[in-house]
Amino acid sequence: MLPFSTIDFFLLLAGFFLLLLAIKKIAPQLISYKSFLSFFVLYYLLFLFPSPIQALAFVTYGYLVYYLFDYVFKINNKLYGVILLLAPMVLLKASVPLDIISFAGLSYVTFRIIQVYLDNTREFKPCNLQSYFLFTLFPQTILIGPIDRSNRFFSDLNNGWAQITAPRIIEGWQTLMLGLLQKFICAELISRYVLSNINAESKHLSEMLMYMYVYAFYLYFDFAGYSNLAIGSGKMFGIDVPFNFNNPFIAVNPQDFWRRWHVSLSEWLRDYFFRPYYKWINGFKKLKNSPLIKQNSGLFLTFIIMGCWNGFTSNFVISGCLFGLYSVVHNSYLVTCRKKGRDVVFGKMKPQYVRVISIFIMFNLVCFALYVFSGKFPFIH
Amino acid sequence: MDLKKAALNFMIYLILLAGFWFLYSPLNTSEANTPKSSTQFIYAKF
Repeated sequence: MLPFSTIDFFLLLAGFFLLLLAIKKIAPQLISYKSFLSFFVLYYLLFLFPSPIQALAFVTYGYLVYYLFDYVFKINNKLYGVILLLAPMVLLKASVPLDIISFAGLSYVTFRIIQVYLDNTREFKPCNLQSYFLFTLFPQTILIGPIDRSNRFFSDLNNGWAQITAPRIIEGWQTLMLGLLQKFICAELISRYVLSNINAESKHLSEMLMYMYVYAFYLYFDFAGYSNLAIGSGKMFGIDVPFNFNNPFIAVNPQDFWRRWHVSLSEWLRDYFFRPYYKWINGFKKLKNSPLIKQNSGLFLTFIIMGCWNGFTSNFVISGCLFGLYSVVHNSYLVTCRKKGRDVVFGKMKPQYVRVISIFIMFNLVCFALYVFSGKFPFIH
Repeated sequence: MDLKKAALNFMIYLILLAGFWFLYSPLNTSEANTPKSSTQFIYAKF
């Protein structure tokens, strides 16, 4: 049973939530908050998750790489460890049959174990194994995020039963309801009554445009809904899972868009790929006077990685390239405006008109990139 | 709780109730009442 895919999962959440409330109210000294969550995670993983052995094996592998590289061999260059942690996901995405570690949610768990490894400075003791397993395998976020950060997650765990408060439960409940509305009503209505009636293989412009716009809204409601289900139920269990979507279709530029769409992924890539890459390329003396080349290459590569992370198929890679291209063009435009001291596209147009035009352009560009992402764009297979 | 927020929540519950009945109720036999929406599997193939 995958998270939020059947009514049984909701019943499981409800059962454990009531148990959590009862223990917090009656006998919190009987069992620690962390032990309760461990019981919940293990119960779900061992009895209900489709590939429990694979998930546990992969997370154990992640912990071994982290522990051996940082505390036993004390290897300073983190690149070797990252390559080892990435290898299983890359091999699976390249269609290499590796059943022993193949499980739904591997991509997200990979990013989490890499984050723990990269953020570790060796100044402190290795992170607690129980906390590590809870962070990487938390049922609400195991499948498609949001991608949480370990330090934030561990601080929630360390707060213990104090994390379970009435305002947090109410906020979680409201987010959960919003998620239900987005995923099971809005996305389902669009999917059942609009999207499935459009001929996705058609090469007629009108049908292609129709599919493009409808798919963008469907994807948004489905994915944002799922994220809100994870955030809301996470909050009800005392874990402040980070937000993932914030009205992405009113973004005015690519930078703004990635602060509103799949935020946890774009922030992860910014912190663990773009910034280290920029630091690395800054070391090249030949590029000392070319900041634009450094920024743009970093942006483009970040989005190619994002595309490849979804899969090594042409639709994912090309949609990543498109998002990269949008960001490169926008960044070049910003630099040019700064150099010339004026807006080279909009001139002295009123800011409110600029905003409306920017939203319109960005919305259409995003819809097109998502259309390619869908794999239904007839000219890319 | 302020009235506006309460009204909004109430509206969400109403839409949810109506939506779930319309889309998934076994009494509503005009459409197959199983979700077709499956984007999560695009995102989490592995």
